[in-house]
Amino acid sequence: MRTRFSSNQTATRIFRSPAMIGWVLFLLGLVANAIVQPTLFKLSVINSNLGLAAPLVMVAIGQTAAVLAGGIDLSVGAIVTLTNVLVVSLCSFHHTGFWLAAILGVAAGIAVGVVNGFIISIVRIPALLVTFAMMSIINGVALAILPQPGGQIPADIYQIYGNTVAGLPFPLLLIIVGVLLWVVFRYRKIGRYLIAVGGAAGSSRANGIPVTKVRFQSYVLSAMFASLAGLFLTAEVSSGDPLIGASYALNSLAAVVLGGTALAGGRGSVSGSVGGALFLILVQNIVYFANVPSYYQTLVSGLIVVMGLATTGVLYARSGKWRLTNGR
Amino acid sequence: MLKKGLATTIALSLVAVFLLAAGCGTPTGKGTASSGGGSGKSFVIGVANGYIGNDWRTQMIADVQQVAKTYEKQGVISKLIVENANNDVTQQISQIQNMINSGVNAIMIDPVSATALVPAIQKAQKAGILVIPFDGVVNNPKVTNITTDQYSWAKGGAEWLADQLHGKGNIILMDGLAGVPAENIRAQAEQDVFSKYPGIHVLQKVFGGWAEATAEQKMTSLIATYPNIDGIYTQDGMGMGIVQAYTAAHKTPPLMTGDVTVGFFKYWTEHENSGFHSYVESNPPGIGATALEFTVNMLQGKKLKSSSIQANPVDTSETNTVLVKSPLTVTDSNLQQVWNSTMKGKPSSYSLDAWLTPSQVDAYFQ
Amino acid sequence: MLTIEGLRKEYGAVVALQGASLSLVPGTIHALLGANGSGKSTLVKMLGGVVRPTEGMIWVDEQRLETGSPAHAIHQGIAVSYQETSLVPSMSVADNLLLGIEPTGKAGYVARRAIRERAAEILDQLELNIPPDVPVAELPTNAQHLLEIGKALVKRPKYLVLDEATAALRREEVKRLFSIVCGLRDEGAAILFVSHRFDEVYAICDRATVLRNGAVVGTRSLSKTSREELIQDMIGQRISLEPVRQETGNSIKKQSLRLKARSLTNSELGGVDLEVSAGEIVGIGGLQGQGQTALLRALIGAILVRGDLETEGHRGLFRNPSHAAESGVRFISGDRGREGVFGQRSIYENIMIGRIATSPLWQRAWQRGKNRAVRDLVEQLKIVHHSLTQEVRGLSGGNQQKVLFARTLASRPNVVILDDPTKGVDVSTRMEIHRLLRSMAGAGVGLLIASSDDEELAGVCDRVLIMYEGRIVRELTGDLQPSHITKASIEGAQSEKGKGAETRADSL
Repeated sequence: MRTRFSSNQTATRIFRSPAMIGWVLFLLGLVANAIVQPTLFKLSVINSNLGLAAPLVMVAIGQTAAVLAGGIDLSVGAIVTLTNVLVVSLCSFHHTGFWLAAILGVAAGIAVGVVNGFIISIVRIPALLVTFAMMSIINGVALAILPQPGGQIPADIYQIYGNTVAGLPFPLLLIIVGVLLWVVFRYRKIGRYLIAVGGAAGSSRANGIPVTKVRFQSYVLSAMFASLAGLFLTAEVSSGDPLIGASYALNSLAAVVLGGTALAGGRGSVSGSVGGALFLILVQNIVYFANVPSYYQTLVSGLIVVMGLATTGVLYARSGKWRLTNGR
Repeated sequence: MLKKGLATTIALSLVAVFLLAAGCGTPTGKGTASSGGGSGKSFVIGVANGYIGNDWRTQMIADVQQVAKTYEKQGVISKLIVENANNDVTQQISQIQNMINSGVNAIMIDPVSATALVPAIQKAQKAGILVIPFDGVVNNPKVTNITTDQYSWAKGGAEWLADQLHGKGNIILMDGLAGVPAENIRAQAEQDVFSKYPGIHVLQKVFGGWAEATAEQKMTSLIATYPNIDGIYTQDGMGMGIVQAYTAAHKTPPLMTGDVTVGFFKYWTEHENSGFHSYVESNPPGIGATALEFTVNMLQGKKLKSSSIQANPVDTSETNTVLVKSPLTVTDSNLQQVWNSTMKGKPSSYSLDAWLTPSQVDAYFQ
Repeated sequence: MLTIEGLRKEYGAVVALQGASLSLVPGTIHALLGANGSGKSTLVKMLGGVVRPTEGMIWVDEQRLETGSPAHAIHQGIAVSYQETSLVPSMSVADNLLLGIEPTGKAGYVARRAIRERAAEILDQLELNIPPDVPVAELPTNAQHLLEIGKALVKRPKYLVLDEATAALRREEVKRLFSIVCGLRDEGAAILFVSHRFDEVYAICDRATVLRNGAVVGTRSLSKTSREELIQDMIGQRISLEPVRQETGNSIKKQSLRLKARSLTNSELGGVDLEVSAGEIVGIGGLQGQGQTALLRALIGAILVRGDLETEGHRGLFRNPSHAAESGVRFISGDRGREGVFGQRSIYENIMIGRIATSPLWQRAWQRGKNRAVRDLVEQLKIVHHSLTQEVRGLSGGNQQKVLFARTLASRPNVVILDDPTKGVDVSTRMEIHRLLRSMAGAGVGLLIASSDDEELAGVCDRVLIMYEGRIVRELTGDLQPSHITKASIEGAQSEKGKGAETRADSL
């Protein structure tokens, strides 16, 4: 017992940490991308990549909250869409100011999270079913609000989004703001309790943690980040589209898993998910610049993602094994 | 231990895939071609197609590639990059951005959305890239949309019908879908033409939804209601439905405008001698190839005549659109020739196709 | 002062606790004793707020405790160290120690430095030399149990409940714990000490309450009570069911050896030797959690173990349960729902799966000819049903258990290993199952049965092995009485205590 643990194992622990996988994948992707696309590090190129990455990063952060607490949120894509169509239609058809529209759009997204959280944590229906149903419902609502793509937000908004501020790409600033927003929660009690509840709900309850409340809040957090993502995406595309968020539900889950967060909950980190999300964006670039014909791009990017996921999965199994042999 | 080995294997193969991908990428280097971009040089052109899931679009892309091949042989185009988005705005934006970042000279866009692409297009223009939306249009005064002239398309058929009826008779209007931009433009043309002929009486105007089945159903009840139909004006996609309604009623259709599909042409060629007459103006997938001709001309520094640029048919407040007249019209006189040269033996989903020749395109430029 | 008044807990028709009352006096250590299933753990969980009592109340310092709320219990100064621990494996040592009572600084942020400091303090106090940022999952079992205790201590409780806290600890760790606990007592805290180790109880406790079958037998001052008196309280007079064994008698002579295990060793087992002959029923008894489950699972290859194993036609340890099944060694788990029946499949499929499981994967599975055999088995076992195709989950617990027996019989086993075969089964089905076990033995099968029910062991077994801390400490043969088995289980804890702890310490 006495000599089993020494301080230099802290270093190994960091390298074994699940979040590392996300960042290692991201770095691998970055190197591969830089090889096929020598202009990758030009400011304008970074800017445009981050512009697309920011919404996915935000959704992935929110999804991490839901997954850490032992749940799943399939409705994030629909929430992205809802915020997008609400903001755009308020701006262009109801002459609402952009910022008021933005606040209303985000509030609507959060309201969806409140409903999700209520049904899952209090009515106790499995998250998979609730959020899947919610996805259909909200997609329907979005279609009713804006049946056809269109509308426009003020030009200065999307011009800022595609620009730099103080030499830094604006979307990068937004990503930083998103991560900081997460930090606000992560280092309060709720941040720890998400992990505790996802890791061992029974133990959490025995220690006086309000399990139901934590579960509820995880869906509100997830929805909040998803609706912020919807706002960022609106700034990126400048107009509304009732189908715009469809890909985010599964992509955010892929980012979360690539970032080393266990789908079973209780283990993982947002920083890993951010790495995973950036990796997914890079994969799109790589297949394009590697001259993969358009018809095969989906196939090749799918294969790369599957291999990334397999690496994550196997590394997990390995850390589990370490624990098994530890007793002897 | 086994697991560890597996992890290493997967990680290594991941690296291998990346390197392989990287290996494919380096020799051609998409970014390099643009550096030579001066006058009379070879161009890299990107095509961001919003959707590839139907025959018409597939034919459109094939046409673009066919024309590009000729230009590649001449050394005018060094590379054509085609990207298809699955009707997904973000995917199309990402593809446009990748094209910008790889330094293409021009981007042709068949847009998923008339509005959502504006920021991406502005980015491209800032980078000095020529942006040509085609087929669909984009609402932005600074681009040049290339699209088929729906007004003149509709006008051609209407005038032919009025002419054949010698300005007298009862007709049916089989239109598309109320409220859709293309329908509004075409309906305007129909009204403009037929109102000039006081002898022509419109029995009824119905909407067939550009769908064969709907058209057949509507026509069947019209045949029962009106025994005295002298002519039918129909838009595309519905000609065969009308023919089938008449066939089911054991009648021969009266004078009617037709459809671009192989199925309709087959009927027409088979019944030409038994008194069936029609007129078909193509709304061709070749618009993509036509747009490529325009793009090459503009890259080579030619300027469009100011008369070539007209109001955006979707948002008429903007003047940013080249309305291309349909390049091919089929009547009884050239039916056999067209059928034998382009349609015969093609699958039934194939649409009559044509695009403007370089000299026809030249006429739009100064 | 903490007073418990008439606590009662029912789980459906089962009464876990029937009106228990006791008082914890500040400055004293109070022992809670009782045999398996006497309701100790239920009582502890009610104190911690994890289980809400059906009736009764708890008073803390003249205030009524809001039952069923762990947060409120903690707020009232009650801290519990649970037998099965309440740690979050993926979280770090420090985070676990202060889970639920994190100090927060300005703006509601958790004061991480304070957590580390408090954690280091407690780790020091427990003399645990582990860095506070390792995930708990990576710690060995004894360290995890020490952390569970540390988690209670860190709350500086007025009322500390230790449920079998010493079970997984080594000797010097127990000593250290006692000095801490005694320190707390001297500062005026009241401690409820739940244990089966009499030495420890006599070493630190002032009074002892004995529970039997969910009821309080009495509270005694330990200075005036002998061990024998306590044991008597725990065993009591039990109503003995008609012993099944006598029906078929001991006519079956010991024949060839069906199963022979030598020095099975892993983290939970300390070198177990075991033999089962054809036609013999061997019982495994002892207090709960002494390695019985691990032993059964080690035998069928479900968990890692070192040692040697011999069965008919096979030598060596089994790689996995399927390997064991191929050699005719079948296991019937005590966890019927998760490891026994396929609830949503038919009776027919549930019975046939045992046969099919050992045949090659690509072999055609559902042969019609087997219908007859299954029907015979169902009739022989008197499984109450209306159709062979009905879903098993619709059957009663007893009938589900019989389906498992039918499955095992259909596969013609040499050895059958059973974990609590009559758990949650009514009395008449229980008798039927006991008869069935005897008839299986009569047909030459060797049976090994682990049970927490000493009456069952006495009634059905030829011999009973008593386990204590991962080893077999006693073998009972001849005329078996339930009270003898209970006594041996409890006493096993006494006679073997020192030695057992020493061996475990060495193996770590």
